[in-house]
Amino acid sequence: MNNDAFERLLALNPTVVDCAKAVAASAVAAMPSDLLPSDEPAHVYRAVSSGESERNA
Amino acid sequence: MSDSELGFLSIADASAKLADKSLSPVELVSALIARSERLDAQLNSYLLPCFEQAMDAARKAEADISAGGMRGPLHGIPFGLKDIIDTAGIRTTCHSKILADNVPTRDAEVARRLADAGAIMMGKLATHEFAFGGPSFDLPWPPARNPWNTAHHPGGSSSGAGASVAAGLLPGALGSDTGGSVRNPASCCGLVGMKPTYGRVPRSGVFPLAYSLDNVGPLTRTVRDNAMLMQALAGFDAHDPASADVPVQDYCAAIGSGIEGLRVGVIRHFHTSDMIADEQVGAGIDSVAQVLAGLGAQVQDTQLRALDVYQGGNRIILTVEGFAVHRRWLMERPEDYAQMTREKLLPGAFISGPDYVDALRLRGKLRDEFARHMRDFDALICVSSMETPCRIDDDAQVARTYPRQARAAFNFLGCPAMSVPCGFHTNGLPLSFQIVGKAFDEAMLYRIAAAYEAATPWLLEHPTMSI
Repeated sequence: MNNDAFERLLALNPTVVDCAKAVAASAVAAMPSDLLPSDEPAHVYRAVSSGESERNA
Repeated sequence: MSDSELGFLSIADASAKLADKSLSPVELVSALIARSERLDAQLNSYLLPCFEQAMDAARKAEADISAGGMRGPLHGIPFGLKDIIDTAGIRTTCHSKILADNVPTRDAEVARRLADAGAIMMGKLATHEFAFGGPSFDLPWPPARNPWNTAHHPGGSSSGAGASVAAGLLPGALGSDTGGSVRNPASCCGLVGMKPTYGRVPRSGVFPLAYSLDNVGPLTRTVRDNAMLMQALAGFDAHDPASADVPVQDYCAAIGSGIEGLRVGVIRHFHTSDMIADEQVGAGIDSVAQVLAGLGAQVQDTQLRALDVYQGGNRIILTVEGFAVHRRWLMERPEDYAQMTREKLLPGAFISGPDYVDALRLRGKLRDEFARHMRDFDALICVSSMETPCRIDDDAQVARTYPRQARAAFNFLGCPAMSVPCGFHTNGLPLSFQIVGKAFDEAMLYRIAAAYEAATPWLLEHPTMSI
């Protein structure tokens, strides 16, 4: 979302968006990506982007 | 009986007295109203008392019971509802200016089930704003306070439920639990709080915080009382897309059968290395393990993933789903939220779709892994809060201590977890621990909790301000 969406929030507190971004980044960084499953059913997670499909074709 | 005796009467004992007509619903409800009018100015547990309606319901229950029409064990029993639970014709605000004038047209399914059982709704109870904010002073209503020390917070987000039940204003109340919000006030106020298996108790008519993590559960002073409320609440609801069509156990029947031979694992690393708990909190777990072993359980340490693996995943899902619920209001009416709520909701705008999906994938994997782990155990125990509740007016301490807990892990895993009192800190505030079980095996948690409760004296302690 761009900062225009947060105009009213920023008027209340100019640092609120930057703080929220930092909190979000910290939460994502803490997620253990090495634990993500690699054996999920292929029909669920074998989706590719349309660009990649075209290249494959 | 005095107001104080009636205030601390258990649901089970009140039910027996109502059945043999040695107590009337009018007498019980009148006593609780008198106590609330005398004490709640110190606690702020009620957002909206519904005492006139409660007296009407009590008179009807008395007439029905006198005529031999007692519907069941909850007929004539008073209870309260966290104010995110819809009540037809009665304001439901989520403790927020956003919904200050919201009057639902239908009862939430859990409210309907308790009403059908003949229980008497006494009023709507304080919460952290939208079950997420914190003990905020910039809302239309003040935050609830801890009856063990009113300078301290009572936990949350089901703060009014914890405060009112601990103070003997109500024998039981319903809260909601997305990252620990039933078990936190239960822990802070010395109560029994159940977060059931995800999908066990209906959420239709309950304002969402995070769709895939929300649960409704009871807070009570005793284990049996908690089981009695759960018995009325549990079961399939076609209006809740996450509701599970799984047979409901007999929770009360599980109580009293002892724990000889049960396999209980102690998750010690949550509070000794993943986070470092207050020394007395850690000693509390050691003491619980000793009591359970003394009762014949096979108690041994066990190891799960590091606490933050679960709680970090829960944080991502909760934050994204919470922001999705509040996005429009947060953009259009941010000034109508408490500052603390705004600051907790907004990070959800900045977690990407792929990161959210990864958290869901991780959850699926770890739920399967946990189910395999539980083949070797009947239940696990671990800490609830890493320390006792801080002063309610110390924002920095509130922000530091709220995440220091081991509850959200079990929202992430979807399994049942209950908070049970296990003594008192030298600062006078309650200590507690959690019992964690296999999916849809709440009966095992009640069985173990009841055995522990019967072997210890904590049930007899009440906050002095409320006597």
